[in-house]
Amino acid sequence: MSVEFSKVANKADVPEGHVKVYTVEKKRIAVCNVEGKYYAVADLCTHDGGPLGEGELVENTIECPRHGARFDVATGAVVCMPAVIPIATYPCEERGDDLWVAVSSAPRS
Amino acid sequence: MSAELIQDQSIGNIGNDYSQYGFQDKEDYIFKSGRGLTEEIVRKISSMKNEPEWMLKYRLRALEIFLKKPMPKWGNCGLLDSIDFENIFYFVRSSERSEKNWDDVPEGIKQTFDRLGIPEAERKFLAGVTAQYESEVVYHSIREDLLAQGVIFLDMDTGLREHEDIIRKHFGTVIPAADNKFSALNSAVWSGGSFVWVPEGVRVEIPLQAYFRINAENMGQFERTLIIAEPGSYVHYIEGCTAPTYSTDSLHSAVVELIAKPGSHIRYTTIQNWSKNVYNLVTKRAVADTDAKVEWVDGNLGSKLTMKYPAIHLIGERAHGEVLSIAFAGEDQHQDAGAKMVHAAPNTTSMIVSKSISKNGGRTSYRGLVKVHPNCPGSKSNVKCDALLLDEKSRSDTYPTMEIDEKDVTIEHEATVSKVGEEQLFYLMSRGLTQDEATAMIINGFFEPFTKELPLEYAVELNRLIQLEMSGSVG
Amino acid sequence: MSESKSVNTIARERVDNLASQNGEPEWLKELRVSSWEAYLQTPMPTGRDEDWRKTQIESLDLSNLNAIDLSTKSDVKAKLPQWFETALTFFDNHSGVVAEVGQASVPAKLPADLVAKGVIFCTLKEALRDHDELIRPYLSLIESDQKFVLMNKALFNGGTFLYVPDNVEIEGPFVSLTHFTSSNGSPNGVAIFPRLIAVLGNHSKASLVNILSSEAGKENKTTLRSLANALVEVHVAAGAKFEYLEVQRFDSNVFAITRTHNQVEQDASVKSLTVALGGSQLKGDIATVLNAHGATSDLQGIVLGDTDEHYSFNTIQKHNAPDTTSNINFRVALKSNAQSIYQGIIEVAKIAQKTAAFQSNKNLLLGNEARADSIPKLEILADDVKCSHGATVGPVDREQIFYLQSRGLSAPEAEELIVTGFFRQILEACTIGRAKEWVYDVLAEKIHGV
Repeated sequence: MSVEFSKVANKADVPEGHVKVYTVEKKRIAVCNVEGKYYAVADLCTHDGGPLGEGELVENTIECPRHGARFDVATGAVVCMPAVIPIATYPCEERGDDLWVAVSSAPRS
Repeated sequence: MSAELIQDQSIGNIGNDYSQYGFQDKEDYIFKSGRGLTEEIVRKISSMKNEPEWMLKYRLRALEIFLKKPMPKWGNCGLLDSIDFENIFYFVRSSERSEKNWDDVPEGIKQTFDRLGIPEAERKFLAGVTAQYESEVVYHSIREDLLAQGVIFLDMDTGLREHEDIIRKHFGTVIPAADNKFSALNSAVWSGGSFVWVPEGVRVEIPLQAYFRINAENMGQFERTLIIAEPGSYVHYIEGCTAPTYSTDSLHSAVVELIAKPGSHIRYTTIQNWSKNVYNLVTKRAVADTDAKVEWVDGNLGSKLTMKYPAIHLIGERAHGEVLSIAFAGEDQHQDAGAKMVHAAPNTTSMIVSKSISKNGGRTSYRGLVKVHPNCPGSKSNVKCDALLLDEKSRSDTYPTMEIDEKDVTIEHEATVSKVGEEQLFYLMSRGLTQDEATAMIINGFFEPFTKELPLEYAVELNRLIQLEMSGSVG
Repeated sequence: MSESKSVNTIARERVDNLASQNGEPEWLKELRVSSWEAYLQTPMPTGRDEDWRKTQIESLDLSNLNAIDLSTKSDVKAKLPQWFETALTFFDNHSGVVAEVGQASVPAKLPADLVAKGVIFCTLKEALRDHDELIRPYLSLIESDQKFVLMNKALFNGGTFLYVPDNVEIEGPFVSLTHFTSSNGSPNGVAIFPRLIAVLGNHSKASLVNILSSEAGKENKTTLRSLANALVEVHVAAGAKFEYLEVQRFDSNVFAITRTHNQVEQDASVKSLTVALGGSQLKGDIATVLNAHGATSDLQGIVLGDTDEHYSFNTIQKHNAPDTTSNINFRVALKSNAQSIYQGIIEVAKIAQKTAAFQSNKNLLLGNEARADSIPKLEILADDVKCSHGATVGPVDREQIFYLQSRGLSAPEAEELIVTGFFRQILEACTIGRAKEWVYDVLAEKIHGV
């Protein structure tokens, strides 16, 4: 299936160690900057629907502010409970100064 | 704890050196934490325990989270909101704990000790009158067996010192600090609790009891327990005791994390009978992997307010979880307990049995969750909640939730609330029992599915305690 | 594409206009205004409120709705929907039919003997015009602090009034229809606020069929949700018996929020069946207050959900007096990716000794993406009671399907048989006219996706 990227933000909008949430094709995506590398994950904690995008980045994981569940930003794998189901991740590319994310109808996770 | 068993051991004051048994070192220092919770106190706690830097960082971050998180807006908010966080001693070293006067111990508690036949030394410990209680002989022999099997059973402080790697890998992975306000509190100021690690394939046949490893910190306010069962292993851990435990600390907030790796089996039995001034707000959660089994056997008898919902996350195929819970709420008590089962793999099964009794204006609440994630076909869950109201002053609530996101499941839930059957009472009384005796017998029968899962001495004591409660001889 | 012009009819202006355009008495205008003010003070529910969990309240844009005036013109020859004409054949012994189809209303023709006994069955507009002193107390008897109920109390404009005097017993059911077109050629949604008030006097007996429905209409350009906000208030006086059937069948443009309140007095009884068959989101609250000694209620519910439909039902059984009995039996069958969340609470007050209260919620998952949540609650403060509840969630028993198919039935036929079997016990209990046959037919249509 061909994967279509859309431009989501400027690299400057997501400084190192920060997370910003964007809506791409009706999906809420949290774009994370971990030590200069960018990742895109679903803004929805699989534990109780919490706002993952409002959480903190702890090393290479994102922590949901509601109950502390953590996910690896690269793979979506659960690193800390109470979540037990991985989150969806999306391909995220740097193109020049911009960030592009692919939200196809079947996310990788 | 077995009254008979203890009476058979010789109990003497064996001196102050417990290091050979793996107890904490008793350092000589002067520190009393003062009331209220500050960063300074958290740092002091960590430095006194000689903790590694990562644990200090963990505690400090947890403190931040605790201060930011709001109080829960559900549950008994009237009681919760009356907790005065500023007026609590968050850390008192047991050696500093001023020993209470036996005369200050409430009369009702002393009477119960009498009637339950609790031996003298045990009474003093339970009443907080002595800081130490030794069952040294018993503990010593058990420990040798464990060492031979390679099982680690230590208090958490020592565990962190001697097995830092294992703990670092697992601590806080089941219940993170941010889980809720009280897990954040515990994560900041935890002290004491148990660390158990069972190697692959090992079955620990005798139950491990926190009681053996005693010093006052086991009955501490902010215990932290972590049990890891490697694949194919089995362990049964017991905490608490049926006899009333008098604590002047009004807030108890423990965290218990259980990790059952594939094919393993963990059973965790708790009986709490805290004195009626205690707020007992506990977070307990287990994760069960493929073919693993976890059982929470949870008895709630004491405290002014207990809020506790043992949870099991079934993350591997054919994992099985059970919660068997009883609650007894007397005058001025609210037992707000329940269970949570999360099915996150196919063919997982769970069972919850909750039995509660309210008397004299007491209130019991069952709060439960059965959640089935998508793509978990073959999941089965059965929940049964029964509540008895012994008089018109008492109250019972049931708040179960089922969130089912998978079609191929069997989910069943049933709950009943009623009073003791008149025909049953009449029959027993016509056989010569007084009304109190008859009621006690019916209640013991009501709790039987729970009691039969307890080690014998606990079961015996629980039955006796119920009889006391029914005869009105317990305050 | 026509732009959605901002048309805000959920506003104070309309509250004032309604009173004047309908020629309403001052007291009624005051009631509307005070409900409106209370509405403004009440915060909008969100998905994080327990009662509203998983209901997509955000999909409702209240600032762009065209409120329709129901029953503006009385027209005995107004065209009734074909399916409704068919339905009436199942209630051929009816005692009167009131139909509101959009702005047209077809008034009831009551048999002379009922009129002579003082029975009233008419549109709410007619009631306010011709029987205002009689209906007046009932407009404010049942209080509520729920935002959408307050909205209805401020903006209601259409509905039905049934009044049965003391000791009058009526065999033939009354039938009420409120039907509207959920789109009107503009992208804005439309809104209706029907209110039904049924009053049964001491020792009276009557039954009522209330159908709330909509169709998308030919010019379906609506991109925003339409709102059907219905309020039903039933007052059952001492010794009276009321049987009630409510059918909700809205089209996929509609976000329906309905609240039914049954107030049951001494030794009185309410027996009701609610059938929910559609709408995009349907949130129904059904509250029964057993207010005096000997009151009883029996509430049955059928939900049959299909693609993209979402149902949220909240039943409240309040036992405020001793010797009261209630029973709730709510069955939900979900095809495709339909979703349902059932919440129910049984509250037994301290004085309500000898209460017997039961609640059962069974959910049948037919579609692979069907989702059902069940949250049955109990709050019991009296001890001499018998209270229980049960809930189940699961798919069709595979063996049942296999058996039926081995008998020559196709998969759809087998499914229909199983679903109607699932609802059979509930339908059999409904004794209004030939309601059970009619509802069977309607369910069968939906099972087949007709």
